[in-house]
Amino acid sequence: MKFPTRQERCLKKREDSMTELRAVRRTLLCGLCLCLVAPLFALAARAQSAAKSREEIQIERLEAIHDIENLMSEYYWMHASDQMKDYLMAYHTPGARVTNDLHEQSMAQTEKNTSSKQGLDRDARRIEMRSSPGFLHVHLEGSPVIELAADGKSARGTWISPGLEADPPGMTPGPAGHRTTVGYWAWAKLGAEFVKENGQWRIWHLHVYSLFMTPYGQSWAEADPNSEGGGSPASSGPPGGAQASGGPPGGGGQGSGGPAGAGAPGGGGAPGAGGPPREEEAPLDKSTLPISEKWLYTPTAVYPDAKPLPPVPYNTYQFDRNTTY
Amino acid sequence: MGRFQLAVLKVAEFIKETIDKEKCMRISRNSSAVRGVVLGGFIAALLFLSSASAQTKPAPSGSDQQASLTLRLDRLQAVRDVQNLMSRYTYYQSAALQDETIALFAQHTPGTRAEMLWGVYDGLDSVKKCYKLDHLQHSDLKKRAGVMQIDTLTTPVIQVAGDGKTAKGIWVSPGLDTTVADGKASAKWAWYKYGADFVKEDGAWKIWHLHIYGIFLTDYHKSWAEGTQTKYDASQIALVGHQMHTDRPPTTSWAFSADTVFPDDQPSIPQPYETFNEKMAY
Repeated sequence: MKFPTRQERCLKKREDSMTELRAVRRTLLCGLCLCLVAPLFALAARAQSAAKSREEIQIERLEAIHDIENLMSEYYWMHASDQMKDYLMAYHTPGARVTNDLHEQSMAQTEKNTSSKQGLDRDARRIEMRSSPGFLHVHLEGSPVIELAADGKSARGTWISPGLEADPPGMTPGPAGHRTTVGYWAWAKLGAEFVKENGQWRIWHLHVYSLFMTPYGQSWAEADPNSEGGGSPASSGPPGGAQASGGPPGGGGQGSGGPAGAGAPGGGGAPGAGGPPREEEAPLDKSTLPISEKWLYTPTAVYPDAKPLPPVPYNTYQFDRNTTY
Repeated sequence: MGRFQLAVLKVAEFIKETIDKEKCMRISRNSSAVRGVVLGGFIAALLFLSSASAQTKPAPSGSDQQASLTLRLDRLQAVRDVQNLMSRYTYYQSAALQDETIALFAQHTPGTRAEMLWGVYDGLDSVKKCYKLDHLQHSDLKKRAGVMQIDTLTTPVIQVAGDGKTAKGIWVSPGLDTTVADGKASAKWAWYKYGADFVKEDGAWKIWHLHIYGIFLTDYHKSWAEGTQTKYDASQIALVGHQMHTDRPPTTSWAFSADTVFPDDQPSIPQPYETFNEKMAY
């Protein structure tokens, strides 16, 4: 038996060491590959599970409609207590506006005030200024029609809103003025469009479509047929007139002989003569506003074609002056 | 154990076998320990990742569970759809959009019906007569001048059948009517109740039976307690002097007066039910 020489033993030992080193290298390389591949497998599995099922999508859509209904209700709860909260409005989405054609002052606001956060902020301040004894603004929301876009990014809704208001003396100088707190009906229809901002639904466009405002002791049928506000399509001015005919601050005219300058369900009502001075503002691009005819009931007026028309299912929001609220 | 976890274990086993094949090589105890640690780490990491991914996957469910979930969601969706449907009815009626109104009704389900305060219209053809002949038409601007009817649907109770094929709903409607006679407009408070059955046709909910119940119809300047009216008169709320095209008299005729008791079943409040039967129809 031939014993290996010392040199051979060294060589053998070195060879063994190299073999071990190669094995360790292979193991490490294999591990490295696994480290790279395994997370990919895991990510793929997660991606598969992240794809929403039909049920998940349906739940999210139902939740959205519920949120929107709550949002609109909250708006009028806040309005009843003369509050306005930033979080209700879509301040961060271009084109946010409130249009209130219940009376002249609100129309002026539509033109001047409500295309921006600045305008909405001022509406809020004006509403806060109304917080004094004798104010009452209660507006209900009935007959809801809410349609969520197929893409889930916007929604549209309409409501019928019976309502009543009261104003203290001096704040609503109607045609004849008044010395005591007056109560009156303020019925309207509402159209609104909604967007999601930072995961929360917000009011993007709100439009108050007037029906009638009459003092409690006078029915809507007793409104003056020749009054300024009411009218059939033939007598109510050109399309878009609501945006074009803003009255002066504290100005009077409104259709049915009721107290002018009163708060309106849209939250845009100005406090009439008690309002703050109007600020200078940049002209508003009317092409971004809805085409709307001011309408208030009079005995000769023809009821408008369901303006607003309740929304129908749609895929993606597309601005159209004829249909936007 | 999920399929993904099993696959991970198989991969780990394969690696182990591959490494074991190197037994022909002489590997020191230290390098074996290193391999063991590395391999164990890989397996632990893989199991962790697979476990994490498994947690995000929905629990597997049988086809029955899936069908049950789908039905429950569809029934929730139906509540919204039915509310939208009935609300549209009130908008269209205010604007005398009668073709749009008729389109809200079931078009090919037998038994479509509408009961107005003045009588019953049986079948889709009669329902069309109700809205095309016995209501103001949108195009008739002359007759519509000064007329305003607003119904507001509130206080809904909506039940969708367990089988998801039908639904029932009731609403209270504070509202107003305005008629014009001899050029003079007359304002009335008009509060009603609505009862309706719904059926799904081609994937869309439709009004199957509509029944309008009276509460009071009173002149603006008289309270409901002061009114002398005990029965509704078609001439007061629809076309003055018009001969209606009903198939039969109304099945209910209650209206408030000082000597009437509020009915507790007009309409009955819908209760949860599995399948529709005609006895529960409004």
